Amino acid sequence: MVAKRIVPCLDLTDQGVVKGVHFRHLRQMGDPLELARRYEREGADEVVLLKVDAWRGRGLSPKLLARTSRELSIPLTVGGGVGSVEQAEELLSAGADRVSFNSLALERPQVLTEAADRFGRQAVVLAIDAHREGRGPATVYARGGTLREGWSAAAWAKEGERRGAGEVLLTSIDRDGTHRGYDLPLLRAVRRSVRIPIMASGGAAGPRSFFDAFENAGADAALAAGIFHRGECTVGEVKDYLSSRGIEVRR
Amino acid sequence: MKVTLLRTPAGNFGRLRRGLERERARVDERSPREVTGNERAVVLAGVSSFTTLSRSLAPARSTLRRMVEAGVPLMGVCAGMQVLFGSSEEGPGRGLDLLSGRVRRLRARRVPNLGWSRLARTDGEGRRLMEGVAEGSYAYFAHSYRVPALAQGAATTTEYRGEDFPSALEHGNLWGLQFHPEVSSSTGTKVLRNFIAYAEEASR
Repeated sequence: MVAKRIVPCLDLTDQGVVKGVHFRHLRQMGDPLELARRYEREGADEVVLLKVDAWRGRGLSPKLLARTSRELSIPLTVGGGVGSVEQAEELLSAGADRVSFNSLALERPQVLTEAADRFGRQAVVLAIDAHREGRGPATVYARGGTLREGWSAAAWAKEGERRGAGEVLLTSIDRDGTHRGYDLPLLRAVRRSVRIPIMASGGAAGPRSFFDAFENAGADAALAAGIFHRGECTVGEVKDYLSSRGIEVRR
Repeated sequence: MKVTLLRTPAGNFGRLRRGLERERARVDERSPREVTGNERAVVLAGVSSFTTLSRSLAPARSTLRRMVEAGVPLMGVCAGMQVLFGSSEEGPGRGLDLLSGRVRRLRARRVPNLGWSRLARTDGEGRRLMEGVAEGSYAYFAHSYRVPALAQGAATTTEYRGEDFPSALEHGNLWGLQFHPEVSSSTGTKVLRNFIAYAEEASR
Protein backbone atom coordinates (compact mmCIF):
# COMPACT_ATOMS: atom_id res chain seq x y z
CA MET A 1 0.00 0.00 0.00
CA VAL A 2 1.06 3.54 -0.65
CA ALA A 3 0.73 5.64 2.48
CA LYS A 4 -1.49 8.72 2.30
CA ARG A 5 0.70 11.82 2.20
CA ILE A 6 0.41 14.81 4.52
CA VAL A 7 1.90 17.80 2.77
CA PRO A 8 2.53 21.19 4.37
CA CYS A 9 2.59 24.00 1.85
CA LEU A 10 4.61 27.18 2.02
CA ASP A 11 2.97 29.96 0.02
CA LEU A 12 5.70 32.45 -0.78
CA THR A 13 5.77 36.06 -1.88
CA ASP A 14 8.85 38.23 -2.17
CA GLN A 15 8.25 38.99 1.51
CA GLY A 16 8.31 35.41 2.83
CA VAL A 17 5.71 32.80 3.73
CA VAL A 18 2.14 34.10 3.66
CA LYS A 19 -1.36 32.78 4.14
CA GLY A 20 -4.64 34.28 3.05
CA VAL A 21 -8.32 33.59 2.57
CA HIS A 22 -9.71 32.85 -0.92
CA PHE A 23 -6.20 33.70 -2.24
CA ARG A 24 -6.44 37.25 -0.77
CA HIS A 25 -5.68 39.12 2.47
CA LEU A 26 -2.24 37.56 2.70
CA ARG A 27 -0.54 37.62 6.09
CA GLN A 28 3.06 36.93 7.01
CA MET A 29 3.73 33.50 8.46
CA GLY A 30 7.46 33.22 8.93
CA ASP A 31 10.70 31.96 7.55
CA PRO A 32 10.40 29.27 4.86
CA LEU A 33 13.52 27.38 5.82
CA GLU A 34 12.59 27.19 9.46
CA LEU A 35 9.06 26.06 8.69
CA ALA A 36 10.22 23.41 6.22
CA ARG A 37 12.65 22.00 8.75
CA ARG A 38 9.98 21.91 11.44
CA TYR A 39 7.55 20.08 9.15
CA GLU A 40 10.07 17.42 8.23
CA ARG A 41 10.75 16.80 11.92
CA GLU A 42 7.02 16.50 12.56
CA GLY A 43 6.76 13.78 9.91
CA ALA A 44 5.67 15.62 6.75
CA ASP A 45 5.82 13.36 3.68
CA GLU A 46 6.64 16.13 1.25
CA VAL A 47 6.82 19.91 1.24
CA VAL A 48 5.30 22.17 -1.41
CA LEU A 49 6.78 25.61 -2.12
CA LEU A 50 4.49 27.86 -4.14
CA LYS A 51 5.44 31.33 -5.30
CA VAL A 52 1.90 32.64 -5.14
CA ASP A 53 2.59 36.10 -6.56
CA ALA A 54 4.81 34.95 -9.42
CA TRP A 55 2.15 35.60 -12.07
CA ARG A 56 2.60 39.33 -11.47
CA GLY A 57 6.27 39.45 -10.59
CA ARG A 58 9.26 37.35 -9.75
CA GLY A 59 9.37 33.58 -9.70
CA LEU A 60 10.82 31.40 -7.00
CA SER A 61 14.38 32.26 -6.08
CA PRO A 62 16.68 29.37 -7.04
CA LYS A 63 18.86 30.32 -4.10
CA LEU A 64 16.08 29.91 -1.57
CA LEU A 65 15.06 26.69 -3.27
CA ALA A 66 18.59 25.31 -3.12
CA ARG A 67 18.89 26.21 0.55
CA THR A 68 15.57 24.58 1.40
CA SER A 69 16.32 21.48 -0.63
CA ARG A 70 19.70 21.05 1.04
CA GLU A 71 18.01 20.98 4.43
CA LEU A 72 15.33 18.45 3.56
CA SER A 73 15.47 14.71 3.02
CA ILE A 74 11.87 14.44 1.87
CA PRO A 75 10.51 15.37 -1.57
CA LEU A 76 10.07 18.99 -2.50
CA THR A 77 7.50 20.12 -5.04
CA VAL A 78 7.71 23.67 -6.31
CA GLY A 79 5.54 25.88 -8.43
CA GLY A 80 4.06 29.28 -9.00
CA GLY A 81 4.63 31.16 -12.23
CA VAL A 82 6.66 28.48 -13.96
CA GLY A 83 6.90 30.01 -17.42
CA SER A 84 8.68 27.40 -19.53
CA VAL A 85 10.06 23.88 -19.58
CA GLU A 86 13.55 25.41 -19.33
CA GLN A 87 12.53 27.19 -16.16
CA ALA A 88 11.18 23.92 -14.79
CA GLU A 89 14.51 22.32 -15.54
CA GLU A 90 16.30 25.08 -13.62
CA LEU A 91 14.05 24.46 -10.63
CA LEU A 92 14.70 20.72 -10.79
CA SER A 93 18.43 21.25 -10.95
CA ALA A 94 18.27 23.76 -8.08
CA GLY A 95 16.85 21.01 -5.90
CA ALA A 96 13.15 20.47 -6.61
CA ASP A 97 11.90 16.93 -7.13
CA ARG A 98 8.71 17.91 -8.88
CA VAL A 99 7.46 21.03 -10.60
CA SER A 100 3.87 22.16 -10.76
CA PHE A 101 2.40 23.90 -13.78
CA ASN A 102 -0.71 26.04 -13.65
CA SER A 103 -1.27 29.11 -15.88
CA LEU A 104 1.33 28.06 -18.43
CA ALA A 105 -0.33 24.67 -18.91
CA LEU A 106 -3.64 26.43 -19.57
CA GLU A 107 -2.03 28.62 -22.19
CA ARG A 108 0.03 25.86 -23.79
CA PRO A 109 -1.09 22.39 -22.67
CA GLN A 110 1.72 20.78 -24.66
CA VAL A 111 4.23 21.94 -22.02
CA LEU A 112 2.95 19.08 -19.88
CA THR A 113 3.96 16.62 -22.59
CA GLU A 114 7.30 18.30 -23.14
CA ALA A 115 8.03 18.27 -19.42
CA ALA A 116 6.92 14.64 -19.00
CA ASP A 117 9.12 13.57 -21.92
CA ARG A 118 12.05 15.39 -20.46
CA PHE A 119 11.73 14.71 -16.72
CA GLY A 120 9.29 11.81 -16.50
CA ARG A 121 5.63 12.01 -15.60
CA GLN A 122 6.32 11.69 -11.87
CA ALA A 123 8.06 15.07 -11.89
CA VAL A 124 5.13 16.88 -13.52
CA VAL A 125 2.33 18.18 -11.33
CA LEU A 126 -0.72 19.93 -12.75
CA ALA A 127 -1.94 22.55 -10.29
CA ILE A 128 -5.61 23.41 -10.72
CA ASP A 129 -7.27 26.31 -8.94
CA ALA A 130 -11.03 25.82 -9.03
CA HIS A 131 -13.93 28.05 -8.07
CA ARG A 132 -17.61 27.22 -8.07
CA GLU A 133 -20.22 29.75 -9.11
CA GLY A 134 -23.72 28.81 -8.07
CA ARG A 135 -24.54 25.15 -8.41
CA GLY A 136 -22.61 24.26 -11.53
CA PRO A 137 -19.34 22.36 -11.69
CA ALA A 138 -16.21 24.09 -10.42
CA THR A 139 -14.33 25.92 -13.14
CA VAL A 140 -10.64 26.51 -13.55
CA TYR A 141 -8.88 29.83 -12.90
CA ALA A 142 -5.44 30.97 -13.98
CA ARG A 143 -3.07 33.64 -12.68
CA GLY A 144 -3.57 33.19 -8.97
CA GLY A 145 -7.34 32.82 -9.25
CA THR A 146 -7.88 36.02 -11.22
CA LEU A 147 -8.55 34.73 -14.73
CA ARG A 148 -11.47 32.46 -15.53
CA GLU A 149 -10.83 29.69 -18.03
CA GLY A 150 -13.33 27.67 -20.01
CA TRP A 151 -12.62 24.32 -18.41
CA SER A 152 -14.39 22.46 -15.66
CA ALA A 153 -11.89 21.14 -13.12
CA ALA A 154 -12.68 17.51 -13.96
CA ALA A 155 -12.31 17.99 -17.71
CA TRP A 156 -9.08 19.94 -17.39
CA ALA A 157 -7.61 17.33 -15.03
CA LYS A 158 -8.39 14.63 -17.57
CA GLU A 159 -6.82 16.63 -20.36
CA GLY A 160 -3.78 17.30 -18.17
CA GLU A 161 -3.39 13.60 -17.44
CA ARG A 162 -3.61 12.80 -21.14
CA ARG A 163 -0.93 15.41 -21.83
CA GLY A 164 1.53 14.03 -19.29
CA ALA A 165 0.79 15.22 -15.75
CA GLY A 166 1.72 12.70 -13.06
CA GLU A 167 -0.38 14.21 -10.29
CA VAL A 168 -3.10 16.81 -9.85
CA LEU A 169 -2.76 19.40 -7.11
CA LEU A 170 -6.38 20.44 -6.76
CA THR A 171 -7.09 23.64 -4.87
CA SER A 172 -10.52 24.93 -4.03
CA ILE A 173 -10.35 28.73 -4.08
CA ASP A 174 -13.69 28.76 -2.25
CA ARG A 175 -12.32 26.75 0.65
CA ASP A 176 -8.85 28.33 0.79
CA GLY A 177 -8.21 29.63 4.31
CA THR A 178 -11.79 29.05 5.48
CA HIS A 179 -11.45 26.07 7.86
CA ARG A 180 -14.48 24.46 6.23
CA GLY A 181 -12.77 21.27 5.15
CA TYR A 182 -11.69 20.24 1.66
CA ASP A 183 -14.21 20.54 -1.17
CA LEU A 184 -15.20 16.87 -1.27
CA PRO A 185 -17.59 17.06 -4.27
CA LEU A 186 -14.82 18.76 -6.27
CA LEU A 187 -12.34 16.06 -5.26
CA ARG A 188 -14.78 13.30 -6.15
CA ALA A 189 -15.51 14.82 -9.55
CA VAL A 190 -11.81 14.94 -10.40
CA ARG A 191 -11.23 11.50 -8.87
CA ARG A 192 -13.79 10.08 -11.28
CA SER A 193 -12.07 11.66 -14.26
CA VAL A 194 -8.38 10.74 -13.72
CA ARG A 195 -6.25 7.80 -12.60
CA ILE A 196 -3.17 9.75 -11.54
CA PRO A 197 -2.82 10.69 -7.86
CA ILE A 198 -4.69 13.70 -6.53
CA MET A 199 -3.47 16.08 -3.85
CA ALA A 200 -6.33 17.87 -2.09
CA SER A 201 -5.85 21.52 -1.17
CA GLY A 202 -7.87 24.35 0.34
CA GLY A 203 -9.91 24.36 3.52
CA ALA A 204 -8.18 21.96 5.92
CA ALA A 205 -9.59 22.56 9.39
CA GLY A 206 -8.06 19.73 11.38
CA PRO A 207 -7.32 15.99 11.33
CA ARG A 208 -10.89 15.14 10.40
CA SER A 209 -10.63 17.09 7.11
CA PHE A 210 -7.74 14.89 6.04
CA PHE A 211 -9.69 11.76 6.91
CA ASP A 212 -12.61 12.92 4.75
CA ALA A 213 -10.39 13.76 1.78
CA PHE A 214 -8.78 10.30 1.88
CA GLU A 215 -11.67 8.12 2.93
CA ASN A 216 -14.62 9.91 1.39
CA ALA A 217 -13.18 11.54 -1.71
CA GLY A 218 -10.31 9.30 -2.86
CA ALA A 219 -7.44 11.79 -2.45
CA ASP A 220 -3.90 10.35 -2.31
CA ALA A 221 -2.33 13.30 -0.56
CA ALA A 222 -3.64 16.34 1.26
CA LEU A 223 -2.02 19.71 1.52
CA ALA A 224 -2.46 22.29 4.24
CA ALA A 225 -0.78 25.53 5.18
CA GLY A 226 -2.51 27.77 7.72
CA ILE A 227 -3.38 25.14 10.30
CA PHE A 228 0.23 23.99 10.38
CA HIS A 229 1.82 27.47 10.25
CA ARG A 230 -0.34 28.71 13.11
CA GLY A 231 0.27 25.58 15.14
CA GLU A 232 -3.42 24.66 15.30
CA CYS A 233 -2.32 21.10 14.80
CA THR A 234 0.90 19.31 13.91
CA VAL A 235 1.58 16.86 11.12
CA GLY A 236 2.13 14.24 13.82
CA GLU A 237 -1.31 14.82 15.32
CA VAL A 238 -2.94 14.47 11.92
CA LYS A 239 -1.11 11.19 11.39
CA ASP A 240 -2.03 9.87 14.85
CA TYR A 241 -5.66 10.55 14.13
CA LEU A 242 -5.60 8.98 10.65
CA SER A 243 -3.77 5.93 11.88
CA SER A 244 -6.28 5.45 14.71
CA ARG A 245 -9.02 5.50 12.07
CA GLY A 246 -7.33 2.84 9.97
CA ILE A 247 -5.70 5.02 7.29
CA GLU A 248 -2.16 4.07 6.35
CA VAL A 249 0.35 6.84 6.94
CA ARG A 250 4.12 6.80 7.14
CA ARG A 251 5.36 6.71 10.73
CA MET B 1 35.45 8.18 0.26
CA LYS B 2 35.24 9.45 -3.29
CA VAL B 3 32.07 8.48 -5.14
CA THR B 4 31.56 9.18 -8.82
CA LEU B 5 28.07 10.38 -9.66
CA LEU B 6 27.34 10.11 -13.37
CA ARG B 7 25.82 13.21 -14.89
CA THR B 8 22.90 12.07 -17.01
CA PRO B 9 20.03 14.13 -18.45
CA ALA B 10 17.32 15.51 -16.19
CA GLY B 11 18.38 13.43 -13.21
CA ASN B 12 17.78 15.08 -9.90
CA PHE B 13 21.35 14.25 -9.10
CA GLY B 14 21.52 17.61 -7.34
CA ARG B 15 19.65 16.11 -4.46
CA LEU B 16 21.41 12.77 -4.69
CA ARG B 17 24.70 14.60 -4.62
CA ARG B 18 23.76 16.47 -1.47
CA GLY B 19 22.50 13.23 0.08
CA LEU B 20 25.87 11.57 -0.53
CA GLU B 21 27.73 14.62 0.72
CA ARG B 22 25.70 14.66 3.91
CA GLU B 23 27.07 11.18 4.53
CA ARG B 24 30.59 12.52 4.02
CA ALA B 25 31.26 11.22 0.54
CA ARG B 26 33.38 13.37 -1.74
CA VAL B 27 31.29 13.51 -4.87
CA ASP B 28 33.00 13.51 -8.22
CA GLU B 29 30.41 14.46 -10.82
CA ARG B 30 31.23 13.48 -14.37
CA SER B 31 29.56 12.66 -17.64
CA PRO B 32 29.54 9.09 -18.99
CA ARG B 33 32.09 10.16 -21.63
CA GLU B 34 34.55 11.03 -18.90
CA VAL B 35 34.47 7.61 -17.22
CA THR B 36 38.01 6.21 -17.25
CA GLY B 37 37.56 2.89 -15.48
CA ASN B 38 39.63 4.04 -12.51
CA GLU B 39 36.68 5.30 -10.46
CA ARG B 40 36.42 3.73 -7.01
CA ALA B 41 32.65 3.69 -6.72
CA VAL B 42 29.89 4.77 -9.08
CA VAL B 43 26.32 5.98 -8.59
CA LEU B 44 23.83 6.19 -11.45
CA ALA B 45 21.10 8.74 -10.79
CA GLY B 46 17.88 8.43 -12.66
CA VAL B 47 14.89 10.64 -12.91
CA SER B 48 14.67 9.83 -16.52
CA SER B 49 13.38 7.26 -18.97
CA PHE B 50 15.11 3.98 -19.78
CA THR B 51 15.69 5.11 -23.36
CA THR B 52 17.20 8.48 -22.45
CA LEU B 53 19.35 6.99 -19.73
CA SER B 54 20.64 4.04 -21.74
CA ARG B 55 21.49 6.34 -24.63
CA SER B 56 23.40 8.70 -22.40
CA LEU B 57 25.30 5.83 -20.75
CA ALA B 58 26.28 4.26 -24.07
CA PRO B 59 29.81 5.77 -24.17
CA ALA B 60 30.56 4.28 -20.74
CA ARG B 61 28.75 0.98 -21.22
CA SER B 62 31.66 -1.39 -21.76
CA THR B 63 33.84 0.36 -19.17
CA LEU B 64 31.10 0.17 -16.53
CA ARG B 65 30.55 -3.51 -17.28
CA ARG B 66 34.24 -4.21 -16.92
CA MET B 67 34.40 -2.27 -13.65
CA VAL B 68 31.50 -4.16 -12.10
CA GLU B 69 33.12 -7.42 -13.11
CA ALA B 70 36.32 -6.27 -11.41
CA GLY B 71 34.41 -5.62 -8.18
CA VAL B 72 33.94 -1.83 -8.22
CA PRO B 73 30.81 -0.89 -6.21
CA LEU B 74 28.07 0.49 -8.43
CA MET B 75 24.64 1.62 -7.30
CA GLY B 76 21.77 2.53 -9.63
CA VAL B 77 18.85 4.60 -8.37
CA CYS B 78 15.33 4.45 -9.88
CA ALA B 79 15.79 4.42 -13.67
CA GLY B 80 19.47 3.92 -12.79
CA MET B 81 18.50 0.57 -11.27
CA GLN B 82 16.39 -0.37 -14.27
CA VAL B 83 19.22 0.32 -16.68
CA LEU B 84 21.30 -2.41 -14.97
CA PHE B 85 19.06 -4.81 -16.89
CA GLY B 86 19.04 -5.49 -20.63
CA SER B 87 15.91 -3.85 -21.97
CA SER B 88 12.63 -2.20 -20.99
CA GLU B 89 9.04 -2.05 -22.14
CA GLU B 90 9.27 1.70 -21.66
CA GLY B 91 11.10 2.15 -24.92
CA PRO B 92 14.05 1.15 -27.08
CA GLY B 93 17.56 1.17 -25.72
CA ARG B 94 20.20 -1.25 -24.60
CA GLY B 95 20.75 -1.39 -20.85
CA LEU B 96 24.01 -2.28 -19.16
CA ASP B 97 22.91 -5.92 -19.16
CA LEU B 98 24.60 -6.59 -15.84
CA LEU B 99 21.48 -8.45 -14.72
CA SER B 100 19.29 -10.47 -17.02
CA GLY B 101 15.68 -9.77 -17.72
CA ARG B 102 13.39 -7.09 -19.03
CA VAL B 103 12.01 -4.08 -17.18
CA ARG B 104 8.19 -4.03 -17.28
CA ARG B 105 5.40 -1.58 -16.65
CA LEU B 106 3.63 -1.92 -13.33
CA ARG B 107 0.43 -3.89 -13.81
CA ALA B 108 -1.92 -1.44 -12.11
CA ARG B 109 -3.90 0.95 -14.27
CA ARG B 110 -3.14 3.73 -11.88
CA VAL B 111 0.49 4.76 -12.40
CA PRO B 112 2.89 6.31 -11.55
CA ASN B 113 3.39 4.69 -8.19
CA LEU B 114 4.04 7.88 -6.32
CA GLY B 115 4.62 8.18 -2.62
CA TRP B 116 5.78 6.30 0.45
CA SER B 117 5.62 2.51 0.57
CA ARG B 118 7.10 -0.13 2.84
CA LEU B 119 10.25 -2.16 2.24
CA ALA B 120 9.85 -5.87 3.05
CA ARG B 121 13.10 -7.69 3.68
CA THR B 122 13.91 -10.85 1.78
CA ASP B 123 15.38 -13.63 3.91
CA GLY B 124 19.14 -13.59 3.98
CA GLU B 125 19.54 -11.02 1.18
CA GLY B 126 20.79 -7.45 1.19
CA ARG B 127 22.61 -7.55 4.50
CA ARG B 128 24.96 -4.70 3.68
CA LEU B 129 22.48 -2.50 1.91
CA MET B 130 19.81 -2.80 4.60
CA GLU B 131 22.05 -2.62 7.64
CA GLY B 132 20.26 -0.64 10.35
CA VAL B 133 17.05 -0.30 8.33
CA ALA B 134 14.05 -1.80 10.11
CA GLU B 135 11.69 -4.24 8.40
CA GLY B 136 8.71 -2.36 7.01
CA SER B 137 10.46 1.04 6.83
CA TYR B 138 8.94 3.49 4.39
CA ALA B 139 10.76 4.76 1.32
CA TYR B 140 9.71 7.24 -1.38
CA PHE B 141 8.87 5.91 -4.84
CA ALA B 142 8.13 7.68 -8.11
CA HIS B 143 8.01 5.24 -11.02
CA SER B 144 5.82 3.44 -13.54
CA TYR B 145 8.19 0.59 -14.47
CA ARG B 146 9.75 -2.19 -12.39
CA VAL B 147 12.64 -4.62 -12.68
CA PRO B 148 11.92 -8.36 -13.06
CA ALA B 149 11.73 -10.68 -10.06
CA LEU B 150 15.20 -11.86 -9.12
CA ALA B 151 16.27 -15.43 -8.39
CA GLN B 152 18.62 -13.99 -5.78
CA GLY B 153 19.85 -10.65 -4.55
CA ALA B 154 16.52 -8.92 -3.98
CA ALA B 155 17.21 -7.17 -0.67
CA THR B 156 13.65 -5.91 -0.37
CA THR B 157 10.37 -6.12 -2.20
CA THR B 158 7.55 -3.60 -2.18
CA GLU B 159 3.90 -3.98 -2.98
CA TYR B 160 1.98 -1.70 -5.32
CA ARG B 161 -1.71 -2.41 -5.85
CA GLY B 162 -1.34 -6.14 -5.38
CA GLU B 163 1.95 -6.50 -7.26
CA ASP B 164 5.26 -7.23 -5.52
CA PHE B 165 8.39 -5.89 -7.18
CA PRO B 166 12.08 -5.80 -6.14
CA SER B 167 12.60 -2.43 -4.51
CA ALA B 168 16.28 -2.86 -3.57
CA LEU B 169 18.86 -5.30 -4.81
CA GLU B 170 22.32 -6.27 -3.67
CA HIS B 171 24.39 -8.55 -5.88
CA GLY B 172 27.80 -8.32 -4.31
CA ASN B 173 29.17 -5.01 -5.55
CA LEU B 174 26.13 -4.26 -7.71
CA TRP B 175 23.38 -2.41 -5.86
CA GLY B 176 20.07 -1.01 -7.07
CA LEU B 177 17.28 1.00 -5.50
CA GLN B 178 13.88 1.56 -7.06
CA PHE B 179 13.10 4.15 -4.39
CA HIS B 180 14.79 7.52 -4.03
CA PRO B 181 17.23 7.41 -1.09
CA GLU B 182 17.91 11.15 -1.40
CA VAL B 183 14.33 11.96 -0.35
CA SER B 184 13.48 8.92 1.75
CA SER B 185 14.19 10.57 5.09
CA SER B 186 16.21 8.48 7.58
CA THR B 187 15.72 5.22 5.64
CA GLY B 188 17.37 6.73 2.58
CA THR B 189 20.12 8.29 4.63
CA LYS B 190 21.02 4.91 6.11
CA VAL B 191 21.14 3.19 2.73
CA LEU B 192 23.41 5.89 1.31
CA ARG B 193 25.62 5.58 4.38
CA ASN B 194 25.74 1.79 3.90
CA PHE B 195 26.78 2.18 0.28
CA ILE B 196 29.57 4.60 1.15
CA ALA B 197 30.83 2.34 3.95
CA TYR B 198 30.79 -0.64 1.60
CA ALA B 199 32.57 1.30 -1.14
CA GLU B 200 35.20 2.37 1.35
CA GLU B 201 35.90 -1.22 2.36
CA ALA B 202 35.88 -2.44 -1.22
CA SER B 203 38.43 0.14 -2.31
CA ARG B 204 40.94 -0.74 0.41
